[in-house]
Amino acid sequence: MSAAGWLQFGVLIGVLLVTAPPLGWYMAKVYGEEGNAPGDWVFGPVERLIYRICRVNPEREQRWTVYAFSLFAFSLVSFLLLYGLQRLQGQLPLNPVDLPAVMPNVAFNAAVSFMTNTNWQNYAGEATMSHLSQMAGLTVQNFVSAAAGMAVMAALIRGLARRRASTLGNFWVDLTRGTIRILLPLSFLVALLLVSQGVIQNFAGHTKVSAVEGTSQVVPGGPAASQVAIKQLGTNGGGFFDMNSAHPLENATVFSNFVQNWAILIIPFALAITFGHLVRDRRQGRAVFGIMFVIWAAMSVAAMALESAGSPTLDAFGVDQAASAEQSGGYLEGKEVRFGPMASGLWAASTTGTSNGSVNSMHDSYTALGGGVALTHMMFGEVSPGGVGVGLNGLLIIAILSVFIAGLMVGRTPEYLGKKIQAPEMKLVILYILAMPVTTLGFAAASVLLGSGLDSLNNPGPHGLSEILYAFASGSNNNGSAFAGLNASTTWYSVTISIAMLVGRFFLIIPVLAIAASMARKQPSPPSSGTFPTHTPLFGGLVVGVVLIVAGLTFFPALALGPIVEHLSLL
Amino acid sequence: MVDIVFLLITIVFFGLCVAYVKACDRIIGPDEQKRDAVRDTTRATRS
Repeated sequence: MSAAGWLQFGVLIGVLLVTAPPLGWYMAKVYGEEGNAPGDWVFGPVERLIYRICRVNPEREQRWTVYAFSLFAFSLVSFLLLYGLQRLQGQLPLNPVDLPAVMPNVAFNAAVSFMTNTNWQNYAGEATMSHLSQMAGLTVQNFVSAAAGMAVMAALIRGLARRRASTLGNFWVDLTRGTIRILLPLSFLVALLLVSQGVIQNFAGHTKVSAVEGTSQVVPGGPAASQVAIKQLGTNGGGFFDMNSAHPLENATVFSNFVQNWAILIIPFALAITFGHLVRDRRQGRAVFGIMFVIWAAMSVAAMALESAGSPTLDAFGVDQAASAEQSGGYLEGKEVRFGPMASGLWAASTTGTSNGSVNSMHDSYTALGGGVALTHMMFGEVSPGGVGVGLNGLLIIAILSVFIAGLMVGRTPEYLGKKIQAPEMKLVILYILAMPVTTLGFAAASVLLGSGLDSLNNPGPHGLSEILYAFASGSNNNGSAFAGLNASTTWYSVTISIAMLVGRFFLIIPVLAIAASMARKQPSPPSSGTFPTHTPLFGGLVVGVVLIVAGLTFFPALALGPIVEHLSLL
Repeated sequence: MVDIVFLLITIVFFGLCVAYVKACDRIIGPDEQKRDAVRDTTRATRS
């Protein structure tokens, strides 16, 4: 591994540690119960105007079922608008290269994908979507689907923090405040940084230019920087261009690569700090941050090390894969030379630990174990640090499961933040944990059994199984990254991955909100000598262990048949 | 026609979500205020 790669990793950690606490504090003010937050004089009038237009009473709190129904209504309308926009884009303005209507199965998949914050893309953006579809459709969904995930997180934290309460807040208020006060200002800043690095932001169509060697080349145009900023900050991941952040017009320099990697991670990590502020115990927030950080750092080091070590196949031919003055070293197939294997591995771990899914290299080309790291990181349930809002939700659910297991081991009633964990909460935790593996493994098994599923594979054998597993793990975790070796634009994969995305979004949010409602009703009991503290390294270790055990028991057999057997066959 | 099929799939899914919410609401039971109201009604009926 190169010193430059380690330096970049160290600087990223340093910048995250410096920026996450103030952002976490700010977001706690935005979602908190105090009523005032920094920037009220700017954002307050805009919010009041939106509430007046939408006839929302911001003082009116919602029961959890109403909160959930509001989310469903908003998501369904979002889907209908996005689907309609894609199907009608041929008749609408801002279409400089006269792109036709998007095919129905692709439009359905894309609408579900962006509405669920997945951003799985089975199309090439520059050749399929008009500027209007990109801006008014996809980019808008990047904002509001992320804000919706953060709203659910705010509801869960309120459920944990409130006493004898029957409401969880107001979905419309949380959605508006998250979008206006957090995502829009941050996106504006990141977009400016990206434009300064050469990421394009214009309304041009395709420009024909003469290349250095005398041939002509078509260079696409469009408002990329504004979409790239929110695609990273909102852990959406959908690229403006087909090659996503491997495209030089979407990720131009090493610095833009660093900014985008930071943008992927900052909000999910900062939300752990927000959690500590909102439950009025900052130690809890630091503990959650630590758990997320340990898993993410371990997976990042693994991915960087495996890709830097090179391919065992090339070793057998005596190829020199070591870093030297002449070459960056490592395994470079499917990677941008300007980023190298370490920055690519670091990105792969970051994009799969969050529900981001953007790529700066092609994961299908990774070494067997390097690709396995990305796949496994998603299978952890994306809690390290996870998508905006939903990642923290996942980790808090695992924390509740952990105190339950600890309670069973010592024979005490499990408690989290002073509230007893009882049968209803555990039933909901199990429903939450089962939804993703059932969808991933069920659809993957069906695809292997059906001829239409196997026809889409580019590679036979264990790598082909990895491609299928990766697609459904990506869909049901709302990640959106692809192994790229699978042709997913067929009707079978379009529909099944869409269903996986819907289940992975809403069948996880529903039990989370129900747990929040159940916890909100409880009266916390004061800590006693029998209370298991949930802010200590011991508890952190327990949660990490539970994450590994749940994922291992669920997915190890499938991983053994995919990336593990592929690696062993190369030795 | 294909458009209608995809719209139907989505609407049916959200219908399932509503049913799932109802099922989860049964798991956690009624709110305390509702429970108290039911208790009061039962007492009033008995007296």
